[in-house]
Amino acid sequence: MLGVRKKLSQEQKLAWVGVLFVLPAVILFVISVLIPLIQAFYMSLFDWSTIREAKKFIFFKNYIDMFHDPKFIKSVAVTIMWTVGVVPTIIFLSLMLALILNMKSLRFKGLFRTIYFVPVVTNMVAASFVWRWLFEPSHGVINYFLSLLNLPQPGWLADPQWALPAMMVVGVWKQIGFAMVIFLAGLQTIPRDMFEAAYIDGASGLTMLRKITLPLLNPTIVFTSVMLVINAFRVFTIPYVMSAGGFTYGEPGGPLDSTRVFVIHIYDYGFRQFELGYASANAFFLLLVILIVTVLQFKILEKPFEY
Amino acid sequence: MKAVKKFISMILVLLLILTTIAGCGKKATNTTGEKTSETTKQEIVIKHWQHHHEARTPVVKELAQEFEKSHPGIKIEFEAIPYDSYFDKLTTALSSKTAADVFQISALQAQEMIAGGYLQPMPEKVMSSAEIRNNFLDWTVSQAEKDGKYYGLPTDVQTIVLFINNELYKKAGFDPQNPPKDWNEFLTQAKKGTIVDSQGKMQQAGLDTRYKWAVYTLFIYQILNGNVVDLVNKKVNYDSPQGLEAWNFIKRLMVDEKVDSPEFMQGQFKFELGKAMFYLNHPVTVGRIKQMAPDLEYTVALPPAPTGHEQTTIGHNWLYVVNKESKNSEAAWEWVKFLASEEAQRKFIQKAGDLPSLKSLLEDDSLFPDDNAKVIRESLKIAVPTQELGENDVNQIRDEIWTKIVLKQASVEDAVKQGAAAENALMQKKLGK
Repeated sequence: MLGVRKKLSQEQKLAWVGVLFVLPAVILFVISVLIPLIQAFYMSLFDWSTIREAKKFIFFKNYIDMFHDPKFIKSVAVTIMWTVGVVPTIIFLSLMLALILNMKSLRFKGLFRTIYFVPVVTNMVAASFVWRWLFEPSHGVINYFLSLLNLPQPGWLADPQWALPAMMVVGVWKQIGFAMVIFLAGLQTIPRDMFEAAYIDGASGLTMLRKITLPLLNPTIVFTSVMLVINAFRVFTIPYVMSAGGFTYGEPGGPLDSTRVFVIHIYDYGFRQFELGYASANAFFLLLVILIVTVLQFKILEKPFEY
Repeated sequence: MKAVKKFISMILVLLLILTTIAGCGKKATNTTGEKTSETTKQEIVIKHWQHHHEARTPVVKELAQEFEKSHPGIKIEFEAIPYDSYFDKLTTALSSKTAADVFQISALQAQEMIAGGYLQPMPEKVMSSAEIRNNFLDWTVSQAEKDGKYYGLPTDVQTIVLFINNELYKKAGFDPQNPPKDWNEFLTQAKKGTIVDSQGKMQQAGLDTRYKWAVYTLFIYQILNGNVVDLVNKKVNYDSPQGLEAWNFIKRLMVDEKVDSPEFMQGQFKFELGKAMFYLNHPVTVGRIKQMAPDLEYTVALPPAPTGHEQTTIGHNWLYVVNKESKNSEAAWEWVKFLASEEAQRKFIQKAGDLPSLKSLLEDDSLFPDDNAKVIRESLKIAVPTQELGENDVNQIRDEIWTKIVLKQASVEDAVKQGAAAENALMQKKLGK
């Protein structure tokens, strides 16, 4: 009896030590995430402007008004287009690159991995500025090369039709290295003997890819796709800097709101129109959407497997 | 030994928690930051924020040094914030009561901010309301007044004038001494000054529309003789048949005659780089041209008028204001008074291309030594003040009208009516239905 009581007391002590170790992180989370989140929700229930006087409690009116706001609908559409365009492209290209860089016969692997990873570590603002100059319609490098090939030279960031695709190119360029590195790590966890056994059985490269590589890479693909989708919903720097960065009198949402991604929509209402209550409601909507989409992704994409 | 290690671990964790909490705790300082520590050294620190401008920032720095010399014990901590992030920082700081003691706002935002309780009125002992009314141009201080008290002093007084690149103008066959007087002449000349290559690619713009706010605001105020905003009925007038004339003129310029294109040198300083013949912009552009293109020869002219109308232009200014939370109001107001003083305004005029808000400086010929400066002074006399209630929110609506007309080639009437409806709704929200 005495021994059992002593054992429980030791476990409890260990548990308390664990709690104490975790406590600083929890406190930081509460102060920097949870409290601001609750505060933002509170603000979303008000007609709350930074520069007007009265803050009026309007319950869920901000949330209802959102769905009648053409700019909200436009920003949702732009964000979906961004996500649908950028995420599959990154997954496809980075997976291909990872497969190539994983080949035993390839030389200078380290160099190629570095080259593809450099955009990931490049400062996003600086990179966006450079890409803005590359896409400059009159004297930019891209249109220069298009002119040499006698191809049409779009207005890129000045054209509502081309502004978003131009920025999506930058979005893909920026994240391809990140996804490639994760896929590379995932590929290296697949046991080699699986491929050897398949080779002996006469399986082709494509068959091995379909039946071995992709199924065993499923957890990595799910993780990468969840991260990329979350990033896509939260994208801000690239569309902001490329449309309005610097003293250009450009609008953050681009020409005719063609690049008004959802976070720019929140930023515009919160910091340019000073409507903090309405902006907070939009921010909460984004949070809910990200949560739902993440859960759906896990349910749809995750496929259990056995070796 | 194990027990000792556990004990030390727990102490370390507790220390970590305590330092985290202490670090997140509120500082024992206020908006003047170092006041608590600085008071012991008997120095007051005034934080000053304004949006950065290449020509104005050095002038403010110079004035800060002069003020500190003449006011020992007061230090000015000046921060020039890039324009596109200025209001982000200002409004966030105002909400969290960490904004600077003295900052700049557009005159169009003054009434909202006064009502919002962010500003404090100028004490009578610093400058009386009567003195302000007597000394300053009425339209530069009228937006800062409420219930007989003034909440700021004017700065960045600007009109819109027409800049002409002399070389390009002469090449197009015109004389810089004979600038366009009316819209039709302006359109014809801008068209002549537009150059496209054999593939239809623009090489030179007839009119630099990078600052499109200046173009559409000028035209609507000119055609409506200044009556663009009806604050009594809480609506705008630029969707009237008369107002539509201005927007139709913009369509003629940008769509029919294509005197500029958003794709041509997108976002760049076309006029300063010698790639545009005309430019509608503030006189302070003189300061920027001095820095960016000192060899550029240009003429300043009054903007052309609509047919049958007298030449007018628009006036706009900012205000230096004092934060309601400032604990050093008197010193802050002394600094604001200094910034709006005759001595300071002379520097802003001579070095930055600003215009005076003091009546006494209007007739001082030494401030307007050359022909361009004389025209700029003239523009002040024919200026009508802009009266919008707000900045970014209003500009966004009107920018969209412009973009629909220019990029989408939408019906002018439809685009303008939609914009006017949005702006009317905004005004009603701000003024109460």
